[in-house]
Amino acid sequence: MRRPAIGNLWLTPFAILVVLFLLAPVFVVIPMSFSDSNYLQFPPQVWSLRWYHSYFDAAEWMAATRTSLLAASCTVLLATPIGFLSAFAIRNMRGKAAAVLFGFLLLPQVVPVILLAIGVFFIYIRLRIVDSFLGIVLAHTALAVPFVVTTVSAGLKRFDFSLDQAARSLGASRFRAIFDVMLPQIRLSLFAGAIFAFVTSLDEVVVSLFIAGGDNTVLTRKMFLALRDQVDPTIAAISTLLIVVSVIAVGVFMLAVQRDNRRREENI
Amino acid sequence: MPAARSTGINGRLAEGRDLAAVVTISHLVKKYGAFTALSDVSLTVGAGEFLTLLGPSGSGKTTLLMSLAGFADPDSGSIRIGDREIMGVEPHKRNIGMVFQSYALFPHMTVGENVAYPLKLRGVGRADREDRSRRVLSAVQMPGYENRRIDQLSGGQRQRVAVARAIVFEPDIILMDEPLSALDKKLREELQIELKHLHRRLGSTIIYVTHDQKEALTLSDRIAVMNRGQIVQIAKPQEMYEHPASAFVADFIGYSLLLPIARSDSSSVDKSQLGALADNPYALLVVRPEKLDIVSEDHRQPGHFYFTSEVKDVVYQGDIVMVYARLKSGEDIVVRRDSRFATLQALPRGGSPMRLALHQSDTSLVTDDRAGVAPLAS
Ligand SMILES: Nc1ncnc2c1ncn2[C@@H]1O[C@H](COP(=O)(O)OP(=O)(O)OP(=O)(O)O)[C@@H](O)[C@H]1O
Ligand SMILES: [Mg+2]
Repeated sequence: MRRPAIGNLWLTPFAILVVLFLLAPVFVVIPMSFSDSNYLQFPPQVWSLRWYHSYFDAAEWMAATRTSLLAASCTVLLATPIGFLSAFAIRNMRGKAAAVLFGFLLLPQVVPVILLAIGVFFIYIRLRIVDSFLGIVLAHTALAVPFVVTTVSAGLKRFDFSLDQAARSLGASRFRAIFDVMLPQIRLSLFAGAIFAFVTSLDEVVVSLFIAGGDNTVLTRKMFLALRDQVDPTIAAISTLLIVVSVIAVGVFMLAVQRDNRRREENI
Repeated sequence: MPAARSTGINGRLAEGRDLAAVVTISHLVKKYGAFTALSDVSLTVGAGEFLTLLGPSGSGKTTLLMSLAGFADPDSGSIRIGDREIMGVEPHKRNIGMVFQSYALFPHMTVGENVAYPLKLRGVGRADREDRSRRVLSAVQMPGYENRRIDQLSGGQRQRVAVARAIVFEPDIILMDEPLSALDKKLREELQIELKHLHRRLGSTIIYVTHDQKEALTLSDRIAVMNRGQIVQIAKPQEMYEHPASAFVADFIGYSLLLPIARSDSSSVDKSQLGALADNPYALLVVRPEKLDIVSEDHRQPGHFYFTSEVKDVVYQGDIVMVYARLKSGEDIVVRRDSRFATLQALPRGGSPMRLALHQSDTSLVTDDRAGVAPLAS
């Protein structure tokens, strides 16, 4: 690690302030989840795990969690290949067409999400897939693809396409060359894209409010409703768990990056 | 598959067996939008021939090579390897070995895995694969490097592995796009000789691209000079250097002055041997500095062009000496001499007159095609 120059020393307290500000909600939510109070209380007077019990013992919460995790997994399985193939196509296009397609694929993250939600809702009514699992996965995939396209495009920018040509000249079909040569080279970008896709789906609330009810209520929607009906501290426990899941996902990714860097360094 | 092929590359390495293919390119055209990268290129490369494509940047060398490899899609024309038409055939079905400028070795595979990769794709068994990789690695002076990772290799070693990988599966032809350009001069010259020897042992047809005219002269059986998407001359290295067919080629290969023929005293020259341009007042004489003789005032022998000049400067460069002079008509001219003591002693001083002789076998007449004039038909 490089030490910061003396002139930049004031940056350190500033950076700490920024981080504190960003993390403040987390520091509030986590203690609240361990409170014994019947309503959201900060700081907690009495500590307990009752809201975790309330979460894990409720069939409804568990069903919503299952739906959410399943939807997130299916979103990863759909968005990652779609995002990869789109990024690959963009990389092989020239000039304006590439920029247009890239912009088009980013739209779901550019359009205000409430508009998207209303649009999706009306289309789903026509298609009769409101409150269906398929509907949730499709909408989440649309929201996740921009992240995969962005990370994979960054990976492909660093990928030397003469490797792909070399593999093909040596006898590999296009498909085989992608598997044998390109994917191993860009696997970290793909992995990052997949994690983004997972978290995007798991976190999504606005679109889910419109189209993810009934038997297929997702966790975030149920949390939102629980907040509206009565302020139920269970959601603090769930939020804490979601934070843990996100931190683990990012941590796994960082570990993969680190391992990759170490391997590279060892070989120099 | 003919029986002879079963002896494989190892057989070829051992016996110098000639199993190479003829490449026939006809009327190849490749356009990028309004820009014509290849305009009606026709070329036949003989079996076992080492042919070099030489030309300035943007002349279409890589485009031609990529058309052969299948990564550029020509608009029209035909490419045949042996008697197989390969236009429209996917790259991986062409059986062409390719060495890239950046080597394009797979960083996530070891040296051995890189070299064995084309064999793996062809379903060769593990033991056989390892055996053949090992032998080919020895052939490129890299024995025992199987387990090294690519990032542990020097540039020259990477280049050798790239060659090994391109020849291990016995391709019909081998393409190389500036494979030595990333190396320093000394290593480059070493590897040129190695490539030449390897070519002799394999007897494969090789099409090679370079910017470096000296490399082309050293390696090639024949050189094809390209300019603006066309082949302007194809000839053996000596023929190419001694008798360039156009001002462009004369200028591009080696150093030459192009002087209007009228600037010389050509009264002793046998015009009947000068070809069609002898009477063309716009014809240019190709004057190479090492072909000029410094002669006395009364020197007059048949077959010589003569120039009268005044010495401007004599520059000693270690192995050679350059004498810079100016013709009466105003053009600058350069003479190259060796640096032996006796030669140095006899050199004229700055400011003194100097008479120069050029034998007609040491020159040729060309028209000026450099400013977009159509190249000379040869
Ligand atoms: N994909 C492409 N799209 C548009 N133009 C291209 C493309 N590839 C090549 N060209 C153009 O075609 C011409 C020939 O390019 P090519 O790469 O064949 O030249 P080259 O002789 O290999 O040059 P260099 O010595 O610089 O490698 C160049 O003017 C180049 O700009
Ligand atoms: Mg090139």
